[in-house]
Amino acid sequence: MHTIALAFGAALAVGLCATATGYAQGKIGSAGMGAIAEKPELTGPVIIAIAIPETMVILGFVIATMIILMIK
Amino acid sequence: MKDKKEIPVLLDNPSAIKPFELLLSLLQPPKYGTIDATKLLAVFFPIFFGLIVGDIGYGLILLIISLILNPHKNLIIKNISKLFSYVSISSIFFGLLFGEFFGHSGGKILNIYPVLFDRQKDIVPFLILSISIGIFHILLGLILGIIKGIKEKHNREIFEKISIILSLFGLFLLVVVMADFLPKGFFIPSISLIIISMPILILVKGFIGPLEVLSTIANILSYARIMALGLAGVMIANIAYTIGGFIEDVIIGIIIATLIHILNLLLSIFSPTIQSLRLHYVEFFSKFYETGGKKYNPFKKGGDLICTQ
Repeated sequence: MHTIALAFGAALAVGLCATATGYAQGKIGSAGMGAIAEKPELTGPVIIAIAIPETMVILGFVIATMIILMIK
Repeated sequence: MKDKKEIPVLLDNPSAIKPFELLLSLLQPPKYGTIDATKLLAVFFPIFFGLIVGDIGYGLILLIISLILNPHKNLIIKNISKLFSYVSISSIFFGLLFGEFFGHSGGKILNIYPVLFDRQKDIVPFLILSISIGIFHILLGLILGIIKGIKEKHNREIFEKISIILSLFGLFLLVVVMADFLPKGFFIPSISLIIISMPILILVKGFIGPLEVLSTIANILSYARIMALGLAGVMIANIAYTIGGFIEDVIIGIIIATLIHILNLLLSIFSPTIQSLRLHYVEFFSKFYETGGKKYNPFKKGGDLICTQ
């Protein structure tokens, strides 16, 4: 039971973070491509803006690994 | 010269690290008279890339491809291939340290064993290594920010950066004392460091000053992505053998394992590049780098068209 709860927690940690990141990146990406079409020199800032929400999923992944390490 | 905005900027670096200007050129050029970050990129970008890829096999393939492309006529392709030859050498180096040749199974065949640690099993040491690299990198950025503040005589910026460093040290000491790594005697110095630095931050930056410390901590934690991507890369490389081994037919198994390795190779060209660039652009450069310069574009006759701007 304990293991199941831990595994479920790890899945939630990475899954919810990935959903949130995907949602944010989708919106930023579509707006960013529109901006690049108008002004190609904005490529750098747009790449940065797209990469910003990734922090969420990476922290979620780290938390999930930490939880899975607790199972053993 | 009062109007420094009008002075165009030309980056001048030795030809060995010239390719790294390409990475910097995705952003606007630095403001006239500020720090040129090409040399810093040339040091840290290959290290981050190598830590994420960390595989002799992938490094060798990247090196061979970039050496084939190097005599290309197009200057941009030439520079990119030179850049990738640097980062692939770095990944071969870290691959030796982590004992990986197309994953761990390949390393075992060639009798290569982890020197530093096994990235798949020792997740916590890898995480600690990435976070400590983050602490070092962010501190370097803050110190460069102080140097820039001294150069431009911006007292505000100097005090802001110094108080952020002080409060970070205070918080770090506090955490270490709480975790019983240091005797309780260090409790008062850590609290007093925080108490001294907070009013300075509020005076200099207003009430969002303390938030700046929080965002710096978030920046440091963001370096965990080195560990996360590295781990994901090793996992895919090792899984290639497992999935290939499931299949009864040897030839199809080998083909599937090779396809997964090619996929991993493609992933390990794109994502480490973007992630290490992001670590520089968002986390590192936000501490000291100031964009807004105008690129020096001399009037010249080139090829068959004349540039007027």
